Amino acid sequence: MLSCTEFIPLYSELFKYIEDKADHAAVVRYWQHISKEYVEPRLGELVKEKGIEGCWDYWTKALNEEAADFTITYDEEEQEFEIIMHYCPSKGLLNQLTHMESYHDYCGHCAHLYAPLLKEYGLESEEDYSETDKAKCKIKFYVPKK
Amino acid sequence: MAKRVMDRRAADNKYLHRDFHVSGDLGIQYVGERYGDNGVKEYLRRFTTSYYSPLIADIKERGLAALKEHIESIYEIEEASEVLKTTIKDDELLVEVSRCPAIAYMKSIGHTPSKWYIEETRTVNETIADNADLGFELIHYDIETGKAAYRFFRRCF
Repeated sequence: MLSCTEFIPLYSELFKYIEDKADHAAVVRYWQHISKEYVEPRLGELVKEKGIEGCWDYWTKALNEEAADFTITYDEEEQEFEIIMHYCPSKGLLNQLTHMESYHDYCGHCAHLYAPLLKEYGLESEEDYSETDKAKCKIKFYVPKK
Repeated sequence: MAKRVMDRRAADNKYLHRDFHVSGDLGIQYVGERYGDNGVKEYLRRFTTSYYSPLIADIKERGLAALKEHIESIYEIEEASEVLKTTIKDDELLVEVSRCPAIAYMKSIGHTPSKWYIEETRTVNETIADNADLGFELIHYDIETGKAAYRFFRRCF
């Protein structure tokens, strides 16, 4: 058994393995697979049941368990949900593991796991992955105004 | 209308996201289904050789005590020290696990571990041993509960 705290480097090595066997497009297919197999039964079901509020339920649990450094805002009136990731524990951990090389597009998985799935449930998104080298990112989901 | 804000620092919580056991197993399963049994072994060998290189160096320097401490730390993190028994005797480290906390968690949320999940024990430890110039034997492993016994030993060629 590996500890669940060792998953992030295992994940990073998985992306490297798949890319080595095929190409980056194959890694993206893996992310799409995980979006369907893992994220949809969890986040997707919550959003199906509770609307955009389901995002609050999903990420407040996950990010607390991952000991992330974050600010999450859910605006019920505006139907907006935003995560400001001040320091992502996953990317932060990989940055600290100087003895191993992490996957070059590690943060790419977030863009493929969540936004395309939530679009199917009617949510639009705005994402900022420009500072992932510092383990920072922002993502906002919202119900488009009619 | 309500506006909710949650603001947390890393130090506010313990890092223990047990769903990562499921995510790890899904990754292994994906490799197994596309690249076969040897693909799973190759993937986990690469991971182990890379990620555990500091541990392997420590084992080479301090011997089986370093490996024993590492295994104990895994079960402490998982809050399951009670399922683990480790014994060092005559250049051999015997590890006995009465049940796997990861398998118990995965099953508790309805995820049945893939047939390749055993490799997180077999291939990972085999690779640590091989890289640290030790022998490894998986004595038994129950795929239903993860109850297992395995040993590391000084190997001779």
